[in-house]
This record gives sequence, structure tokens and C-alpha cells, in this order.
Amino acid sequence: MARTARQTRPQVVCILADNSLSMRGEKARAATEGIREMIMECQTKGPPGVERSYFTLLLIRFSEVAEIYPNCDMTPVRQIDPELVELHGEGQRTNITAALQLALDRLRPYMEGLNDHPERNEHPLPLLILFSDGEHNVGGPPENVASEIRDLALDDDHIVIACAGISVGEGQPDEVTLRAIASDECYVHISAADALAGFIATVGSSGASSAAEVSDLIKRELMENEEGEEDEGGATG
Amino acid sequence: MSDLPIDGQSTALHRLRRKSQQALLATGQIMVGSGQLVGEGLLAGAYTHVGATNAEKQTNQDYVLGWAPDAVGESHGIAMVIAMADGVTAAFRAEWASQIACWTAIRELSIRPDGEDPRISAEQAFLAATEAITEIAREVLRDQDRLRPPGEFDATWAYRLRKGRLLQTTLLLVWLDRNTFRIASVGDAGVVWRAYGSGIAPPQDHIVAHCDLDTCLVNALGPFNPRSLSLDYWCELPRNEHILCVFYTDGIGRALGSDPTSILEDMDVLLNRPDNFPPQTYIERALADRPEIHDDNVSLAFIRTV
Repeated sequence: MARTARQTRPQVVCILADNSLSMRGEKARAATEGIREMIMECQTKGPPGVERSYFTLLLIRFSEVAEIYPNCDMTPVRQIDPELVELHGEGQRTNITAALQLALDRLRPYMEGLNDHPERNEHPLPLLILFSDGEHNVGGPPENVASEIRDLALDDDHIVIACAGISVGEGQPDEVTLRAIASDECYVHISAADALAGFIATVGSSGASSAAEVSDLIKRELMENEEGEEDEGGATG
Repeated sequence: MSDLPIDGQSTALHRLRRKSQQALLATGQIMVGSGQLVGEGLLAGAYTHVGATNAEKQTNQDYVLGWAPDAVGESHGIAMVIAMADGVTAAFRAEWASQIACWTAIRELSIRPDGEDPRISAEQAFLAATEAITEIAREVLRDQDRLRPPGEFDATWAYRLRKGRLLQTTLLLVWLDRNTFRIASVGDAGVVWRAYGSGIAPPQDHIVAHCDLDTCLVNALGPFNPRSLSLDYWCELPRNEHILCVFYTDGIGRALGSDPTSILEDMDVLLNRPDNFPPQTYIERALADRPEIHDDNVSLAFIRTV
């Protein structure tokens, strides 16, 4: 049976946002825009009513430490003012492990609770989205914690991690590590700021619960971005 | 009724509905929401309900409207028409859209020129519905502060308007015109019909339209749609035998699953019982037996030749 979000079974969307210094400027603005658009898209899904959110948001920003963004700790999206969410890119180092550990600390008890949910067969699984423009350079290796998150399951359906490696302007992402963190075929390389915003908004609001669904979304986003670049090329060529 | 704006209410909806209502009442009888309608050799009935008590929605965004002219004239052969609409859950004020779509479409169908291609008549009815929805949308844009949903953040309200997430509805029209049943639909309403054979031959059941069980995405009418319109279903059935036509919104359709014709037998049995109103009996039983699967607004209607 398809896992779909409803007010009685909202989907947790967990965003792990690289907030290190290298993200400042265009990348932080794009990430902010993407998260805001994702929140608004999620807010407009479902019947009217502040109490009828189809999604809850866990937003974790990380640099050398990881912290949960204020009022975004598994919070129903209709309680979140999108204009109060903003990333600046201001930390000194990049500790992806700390972000993943903080997410795991929240998701493990949550998944245990889902076992007793009356709609467990249709309940959507948490969707975790991680984006970073640099290398993990402090703390233990993140792959192990990511593996623990992906092992969290409900009736043999596992949590999906989608990762985006950002190479806009200076710096290169650690693709090897990010691919190891991501679920199968759920890694995307992003080289344009608006593509980052689109990735976060589209995947985060999709309601997808399986790696196959997320992978298809990523491919469609990539194709649309490529077509957009070709059109621009044609217009100026 | 005053035309002064009331907080949260649409004056355009009220004005457009009254215009269609007056025109239709002047020339025939109407059935609004739940009830029965009798036409020349036809019996129709409909029932609509918000859904199970644990339903997703607290507002019934479905709408059903029927009209039968007082006299089927030589120049206009419509004997009866039923409109059924299902507002899109995520669209702001979808219940306004479903309501005005039904009123406007039937009104437009009733005044189309004699001899016009019926499919074109249907498309014009759907376009008229779209234009009425658009007029309400313009009011919303002009009067955003008065009409915005309670508790919605500024940025989200602006986003909703920018993306056009308002006033969207499916629409189904079923009518008898010059001894031909015509069915036109945009969206995921279901339509099944039973042809009764002569003698001992068993009836034959047919599916005209049914919701796509693999997706919740649906085609819908909405504001500012382009002038060209594409129907999801168009069907014509000759009225040369005894027919029962049953149609429903997806709140019923999804519960029927892959065998929607099963509802024909159920309705047939109920129609042969004198002590009940069949669409209401069917829905009340469905909600009692399987409330968890009827977590949406539910609407059911039938037209039967008599």
C-alpha cells in the first residue's frame, strides 16, 4: 500500500543544511530560498486548518557543531513562518557527522513509535535531505551514522537520505563521502544556485518515502535544469 | 440578500450563483445537493456527505446539482442534467469552485443553440464554469486581506496565490438530450451504467470513467485556465433500452477499487426497495462499514429511465 502523508500521519522532512563559511552569499541565499519554498509548498498541501499539517520539519544547520533550528524540531509545517528561516553560512568547519547524529537521535525514537501507529501501513517514512559544498573535516566519519539512519525501517521500508554536493563558485564538495551517505541513486551534484533551491523544494515537498521515488525526482529535476540551461544557451547563441 | 462583502465570503460567488439559479428556476425544477428529480421518463437522485467522522475534511467540497426543464421543447431536447463536482483538497476555497462550476455549467448547457454539436456544447459549459471560477479568483486577488485563510502566514498566502492554488475542482456533467445520454468530465469522477436486456437476458454493466487508483493527482478546472479545454471523458449512450447510470466522486470511487461496476448491483437492489433513498442508504452503509477508506467527501447520484 502506498505511503502517503495525511494529517493523521504527517511526514517528517529532515533537512541537514551546511552552514559553514564557504556557503555564505549566493549558496546560503539559494538554500534559504529552497527551504522556504519547501515549507510553503508543504503548507499548501491538505485541507485548510493550522492544525492539519501534512508535514513536520526537522531543520538542522551545521558547521563545526550541529544545532536544531529554532521552532523547527519536528514542528508541524503550518506552525512555521517561512520568512523566519534563514541561512547565512557562518561556521568555521564542516561536521556532517554531528548533523547526522542529531538527526539519528530524533529519528530513532520516532521510528520506534511508528510501530504502534494505527496507520503504520500507509504512514510515510521520514525523508532526510543533506546538502554540503565542502569536505567533512571535523569529527568521526559520517558514513557510519548515515548507515544507522538508513537502517531505521518500518516493515522493511527504510529511511531515505538524499544528498546534494554543491559546487557553485569556490570549493568542491566531498562527493565520495556524500555518495556513501546517500541512499541508492539519491545523490546529485549541483553546480547552479537555483538548482539547489529547486532540489530542496521539490524533493522536500514530494511526500516521497522510497529511494526509487526520490531518485526519479532527482533525475527529473536534473533534466529540467539541463533543458533550462539549453534554452538560455539558445537565446543567447 | 445584501451584496455587501462579509469577511471570508465571496460576493462574486453569491452573484453568479443567483444569476444561474434564477435562470434555471424560471424554466424548470432544480435539485441542490441531495434529493430527487423527476423528468420525462427519468428518475434521478443524489446524495452528498462530508465523509466519515474522522475524515480529512471538515467541509464538504463536493457539490451536486440537477435540473429538469418544465417542458422539453422541440428546439431544445434536454430532459435532465446532473452536475457533480469535487473541489481539490489543497486548493483554497475549492468548495466555492465546485459550487459555481455546477451552477454555471448547467445554466450554459441549457442555453446552448439548438443543433450545436453536443460535444461543443459540453466544452462551452466547462469553459463557462472556468470563467465563473476566474471571476471569483479575481475577487480573491483584489480582496486578499479579507479573504485569506485564518492563520496562514503572509509569505504562504502570497505563494498560494502566485502558484494558483485556489478554486480548483473537477466537474462531471451527465444529461439526456434527444434520446441520447451524454457524459462529459474533467477530473476523476466515476461513471458506470447498466443496460437491462429484454426477457431473461442478464443486464450488462459498463465503465465510462473511474479514478486512477495509482495516483492522487487529478485534472481539474481552475482560474485563469487557457481558452482551450480538454475533456478527460466524453461518452454518448443511445437511450434505446432501459438504463441505470450511476456516478460518484472519488471519495466513493477509491473505495470501490478496481471493480466499480459492483455499485450498480447495490444500487439496483436499493432502487427496487420502496422504503429508502438509495444514494443515501448506500453512502450511510459505506461510511458505517468502512469509515477508514471513506476519508474524503462522498457524493453519489443516479439517473434511471422509467
